[in-house]
Amino acid sequence: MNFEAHNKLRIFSVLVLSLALLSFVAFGDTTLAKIDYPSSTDVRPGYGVTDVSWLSGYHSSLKDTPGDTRVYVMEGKDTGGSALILGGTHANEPAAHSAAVTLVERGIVPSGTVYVVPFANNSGARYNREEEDVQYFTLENRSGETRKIPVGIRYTQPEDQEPDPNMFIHPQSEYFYPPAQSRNLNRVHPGLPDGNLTQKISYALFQLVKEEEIDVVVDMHEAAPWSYLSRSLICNPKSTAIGSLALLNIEAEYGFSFRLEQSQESSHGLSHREFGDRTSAEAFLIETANAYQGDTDASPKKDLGERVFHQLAIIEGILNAYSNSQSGGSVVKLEFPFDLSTIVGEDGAKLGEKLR
Amino acid sequence: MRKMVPIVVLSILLTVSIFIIAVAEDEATQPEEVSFQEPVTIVSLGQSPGAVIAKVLFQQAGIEFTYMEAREISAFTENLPNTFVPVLGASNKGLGAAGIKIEEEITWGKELFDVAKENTIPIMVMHVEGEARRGDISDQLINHFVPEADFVIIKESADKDNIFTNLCSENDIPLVSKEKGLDIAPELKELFNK
Repeated sequence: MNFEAHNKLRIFSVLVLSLALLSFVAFGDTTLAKIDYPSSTDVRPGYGVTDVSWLSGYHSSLKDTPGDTRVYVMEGKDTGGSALILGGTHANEPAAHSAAVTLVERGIVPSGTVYVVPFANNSGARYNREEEDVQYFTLENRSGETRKIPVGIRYTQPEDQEPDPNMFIHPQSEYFYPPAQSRNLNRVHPGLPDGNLTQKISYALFQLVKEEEIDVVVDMHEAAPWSYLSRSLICNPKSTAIGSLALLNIEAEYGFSFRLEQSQESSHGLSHREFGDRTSAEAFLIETANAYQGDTDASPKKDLGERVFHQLAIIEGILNAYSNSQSGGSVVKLEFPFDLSTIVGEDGAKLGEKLR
Repeated sequence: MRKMVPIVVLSILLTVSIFIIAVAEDEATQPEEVSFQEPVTIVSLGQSPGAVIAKVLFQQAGIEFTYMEAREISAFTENLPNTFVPVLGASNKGLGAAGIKIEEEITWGKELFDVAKENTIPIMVMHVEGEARRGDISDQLINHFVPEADFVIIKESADKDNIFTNLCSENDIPLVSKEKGLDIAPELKELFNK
C-alpha cells in the first residue's frame, strides 16, 4: 500500500468512527427511550381485585415513562366510600409496598372501593443500581416459589428526571428544600401537570383522588427505630379524631400502640398535609419501625412480618373508624381471610406464606 | 350461766371493734369516692395530640365537653365548666410548630389552674399517650401540674418509672391507671355517673 492509499484509508476510518460517535450522541436518548418503561413488579392480584389500571389513566403524560405504575381496584359488592392506599412512595421502605402487595393479593373489600398503588414511585422501585448492596429480598410463598420484593431508593432515579435544581422550591408554598427533594414524591405534592417526573406522578395521584372521589388516603412509610417518626400515625388536622379512634381500637384489639401525630403547618409537599388540605379526603401517613433504615448492616427483612402487620392493622383500623364516623352510606370495609397477627414471624417467613 | 354473760358481751364487743377497725383501715387505703359533673372543658397542655384522644374518650363515654383551643383566659372564665380536664403531653416539634416555649405553656397552665381553683372547679389531669409521650419536656408538665390536680387518669405505660404513682401518693391525689387507652372511657362513665 502506497502512502496515498494508506492516507485515504486513515481518512475513511476517521470518518466511519466519527459517524458512529455522532449516531451514538444523536440517538443515545432514543436508545434509552426504547427501554420498556414503566418497569414491572411481581404483584399477583387475588380475589378482591376487580380491575387493574395505570396511573397514567389519570394523567396521560405519565404513559411510557418510568413514573407510570399499576393501580389495583378492589370494588366491594356493597357500594360505599372509597380509599386510596399508597405503598412505595419511598421504595427503600419495604414494609410499605410489602403491605400493599399483601393487600392486593389477599385483601377482600365487602363494602366500598379500595384503590391500591403498591409502587407509588415506580422509578424508585427499579432495582438497577449496582452500587447498592441490597436491591431486593426474597420471600418463599406457600408453593415454595421465590417472590422478589424490591428494596429501591427513596427518590426517583436520577437518570429518570432532569438534573436536580440548586434548590428545590415547592411551587405551591414557595418553601425551600435541598436539591434531591425535587425527586422525593413525599415533598412534591400536589405536583404539577407539566412539572418534573416526580411532580407528574404526584399530580396523577391527586387526579385519582379527585376523579374517584376518594374519602380516605393512607400513605405507608417506614422510619429508623430511633427516629421520632418511628411507630407513629400522622394525621391531617381534620383527621385526628378518626386517627385517635383507630389507634385506640387497635391497641384494644391487637395490643400494640402507635403514637398519634398531627401534620404541621410546615409539612409542605407531604401527603398527610396536602391530600387533607387540598381534597375532601381524610389523610394519614403510617410510619413503621425499620431497622434497615439508618443501619444498612441490618436486614431489610428484620421484623418484616410485624411491620407489615402494623401497616395493615392500622389501615383496617382507619377504615373502620372512618366508616363508624359516617352517618350515611360511606362505609369502606377491608377484610383478610386470616388473622392479621399471624403474619408476624421471623424475617417475613410467615408473610411469604400468605403471598400468592 | 351468769358468769358467761360478761364473756359473751366482751366477745361481741371485741368482734365489733375488730370489724370497725378493719373497715376504717380499708377506707383509709381506698381513694375517696369522687364524682364529677358535666360539662367538661378539655385543654391541651404541651400541644401534643393527647387532647384529641381525650376528646374521643369523652365522646365514647357520652360526656358533654368543650375542647378549648383558644389561649385567652377569657375563653375559660366566660364559660366556666363543672370539670376542668388539662391533658398533659409535649414534644419539641409540637410546641415549636405552635411557636410556644415550654415555660410559656407552664405559665398558661398555671393561669387556668388558678381560675379553676378560685372557682372550686375540680381538676382532672389526664395523660393518655403512654410512654410514647414521656421525656424531658412532658416531665416538666407532669411535675408541675400533677401535684395540683384533684384526680389523675393515665395510660399505664406512662408510669413505668412511677412518676405518677409517686407524685399522686406524695400529694394524696387519687390515681387511676389503665393498661389500654380505650379502657379509660368506661372509667370516665363511672366517674361522671353516666
